[in-house]
Amino acid sequence: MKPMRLLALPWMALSRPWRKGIGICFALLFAALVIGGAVGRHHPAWTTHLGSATAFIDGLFWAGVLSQSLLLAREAHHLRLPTLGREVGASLALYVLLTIALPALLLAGLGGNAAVALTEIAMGAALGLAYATLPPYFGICACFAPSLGNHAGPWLPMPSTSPDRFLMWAVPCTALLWLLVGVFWRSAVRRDSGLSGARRPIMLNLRTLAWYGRNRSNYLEVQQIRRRWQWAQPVADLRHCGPDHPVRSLRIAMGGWSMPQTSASRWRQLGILLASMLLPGFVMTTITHGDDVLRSIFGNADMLLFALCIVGAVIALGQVQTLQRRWSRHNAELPLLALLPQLGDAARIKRELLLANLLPAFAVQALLMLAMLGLAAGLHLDGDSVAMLLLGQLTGMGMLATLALVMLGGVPVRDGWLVVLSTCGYLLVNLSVVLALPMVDDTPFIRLPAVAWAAAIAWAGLSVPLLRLGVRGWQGLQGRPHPFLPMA
Amino acid sequence: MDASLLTIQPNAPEPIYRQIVEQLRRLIAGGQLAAGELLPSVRDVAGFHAINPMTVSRAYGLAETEGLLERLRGKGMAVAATRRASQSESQRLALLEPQMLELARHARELELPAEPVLRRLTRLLGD
Amino acid sequence: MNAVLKDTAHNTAPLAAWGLTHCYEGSNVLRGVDLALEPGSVLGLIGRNGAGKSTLIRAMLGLLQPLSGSAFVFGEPALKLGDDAKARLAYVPQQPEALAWLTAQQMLDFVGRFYPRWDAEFARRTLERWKLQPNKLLAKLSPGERQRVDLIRALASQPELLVLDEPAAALDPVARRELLREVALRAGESGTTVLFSTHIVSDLERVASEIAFLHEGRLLLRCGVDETKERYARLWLPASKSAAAPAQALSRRRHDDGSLSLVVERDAQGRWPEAAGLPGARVDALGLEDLFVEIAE
Repeated sequence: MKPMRLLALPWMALSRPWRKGIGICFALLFAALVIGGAVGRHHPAWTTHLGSATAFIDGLFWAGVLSQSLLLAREAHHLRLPTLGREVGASLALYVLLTIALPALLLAGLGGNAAVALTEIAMGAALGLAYATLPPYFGICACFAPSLGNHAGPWLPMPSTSPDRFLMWAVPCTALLWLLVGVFWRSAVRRDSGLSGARRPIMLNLRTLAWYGRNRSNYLEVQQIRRRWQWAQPVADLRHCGPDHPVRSLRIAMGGWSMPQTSASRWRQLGILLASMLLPGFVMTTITHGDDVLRSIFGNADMLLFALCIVGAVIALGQVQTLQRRWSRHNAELPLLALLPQLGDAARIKRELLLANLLPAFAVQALLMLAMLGLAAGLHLDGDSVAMLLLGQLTGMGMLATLALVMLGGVPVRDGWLVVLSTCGYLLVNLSVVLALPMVDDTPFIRLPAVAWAAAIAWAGLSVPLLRLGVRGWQGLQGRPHPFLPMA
Repeated sequence: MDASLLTIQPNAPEPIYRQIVEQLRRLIAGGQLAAGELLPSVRDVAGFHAINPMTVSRAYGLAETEGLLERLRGKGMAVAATRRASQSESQRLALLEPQMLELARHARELELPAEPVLRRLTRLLGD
Repeated sequence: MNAVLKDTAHNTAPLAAWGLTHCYEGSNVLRGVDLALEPGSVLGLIGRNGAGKSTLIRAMLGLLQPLSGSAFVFGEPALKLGDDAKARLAYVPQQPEALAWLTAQQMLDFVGRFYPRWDAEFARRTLERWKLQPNKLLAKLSPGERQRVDLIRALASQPELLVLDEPAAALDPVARRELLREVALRAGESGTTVLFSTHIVSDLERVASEIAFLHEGRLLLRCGVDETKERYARLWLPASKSAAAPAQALSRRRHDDGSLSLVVERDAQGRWPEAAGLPGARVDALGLEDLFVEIAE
């Protein structure tokens, strides 16, 4: 077993572009760590901070790269290749020495506490590995770990505050974590595909996802419906559907959040949405402030404004995604709708389809806009700021309309270009709130001439391609014999 | 008669309608189907064997022109009354002709003299 | 085919296509396919995976815009079907995945409202007979169950033209037999015209009245099932006689020992080519599966 081969082994499970991208990322992170360490070496607790940073990077490294060994180990087991299996084990051991023991020794050499550094780095690596190889619900907990480190300081001993008491809880925790990872690793390697989705490590789920290629989004949607508890499923309301109510019927056929639902189901969905949005905020606020949780969430009009704005943008993007899902499959809704009688002639169907896809989103966005106006009045914002807020929401609506036309009109656009456009749009919509709020000196940014000019240029830069795409989409839609032709 | 009396092998090289006619010929010649006995409807045969009803109609039609079957008004197809319950020995023997030819060809290919083949055949026939 | 013939075929054929050409990512999937179905016929479309069966069906139904050529359903251009033609047509795609967020019952209820001749009783009975839970979300059904629900959807609309793309692929043998029975009886009794694609030849032999071989985007053969079995055979010629092989053959394969296998056709008088009478030559009857393998290889 050559050491170089052992070092290269986990990388071999990654595809070439990923290998390159991840390699560059870690090279940069490592460089940043070294530079940061060199710059901050006069700080009294610099070895402690260096240790934490190393633990963080190690966590990412074990999650991103070394978790790949799980795939190799699985394949080695299934293909009956014991040599490969042993090599995977040896390579992991080598990486433990290189990424955990070696940095701890180095830190000790630089004057740090060896035991603390070793524990902290081992914990970071274990958390990273746990994220990738433990079932997703453990993984989510692992995600919270870094912010816990930042916020739980007051009641949990940390290396920077009391190293000895840190060791008292961290050593058993780390040992337990490695044990858990080991147990799950073993079962994931030995078990066949028998593990159901919710209990499969994220790593393996990602691998399955890669098989679906462009159909990934549809696969995810079906998986989501499959895994949801019965009570959390949206229930379609089929009343007032049929040839006499084409728009409502098309909304049923499009699915997604805008599908007509029974009122009980609608309230349940709203409750789930609110709870899932508020819960993380609630937890974090409890940890950081401890008191007055509700006031710190709801008493902050700025934050609420932000939240409303984000919801508006997410709704627009979500509706576009729904359209993309429907128009990318030729064995699902498209043939059914294309051959469904009594929907009317092609011109009418195109009109109704646009209405069915845009109206619900526009209605919600209009409601959000009203709420924002109310908040703006409460905050005593001036005319420029209110205009900015409105512009932000209108941008979201415009983006939705344009992208819907692109999908329905079959405009050949590259996926990458669409992603760039929607990301820029999303950022601009959120920027509108930043610009509108009086963050410094009671003056909104938009009042500063330089900022106003920059914003104008940014909006113009977004609206020109949007308008062009929109026109092409409209023409494409008008030119199609019927709108249910799949994307090329 | 019940549709299950027929056996259909869709992937045999012989078309299904020919398989049906051939079996009717045998069943009638062997006396398993008596003159005047009603045949299952086209629908029954097609449904039981999951085959195209047109194929069954075609088989019945062919059997009718051959004089094996006759169409009874309002009742469907029946074994033709003119068919005697059992045919003469030579007629029945004629039905075995294809199998005999096949057997003879195999025997020649294996370079077997006639005598042991006939001896074995006699034993198989139970005498 | 001359213009007049083509015109009459448009108006009478439930489904017809002329010169369909299509390509994906630069490679040709269809290369000029002509195909018309007669009313009441059951046409089995057969071909290897990737031969272009699904693309042909989708182009014939106006579910994609072909590069060239045209398709007609009940005489109407497939890309611009009216309500009447749509109501008389039912199509089940390969691995149907539509409306995953509805239950089987909801989906049938929803779709049924649009079809004037919807048979809700048939849908209910068949759901029960095929042991499908009506209140389960479609997303939670197995591919086979999902296909069965979609078949019920198609059959319950009482179509005059039924188009099934690989209907048997996800079904177990019992369900497959049930489906074939339903298709056969509908064709025989209600005069439903059926087009179905498959690569399982025995299904086709049971119910199809005609077959069409699609190979590399072209129709190689279009014939009645019974006629195909009676008309084509494999002619085997020993090496010494292989020079006498007929020039006309659907496929020709030379074996290592110099002997030759050909797929030959009877002439108008029903005779095999002369070479079949040579000493040592052998004519083997071919099942459709053998014929398919001989031609498609």
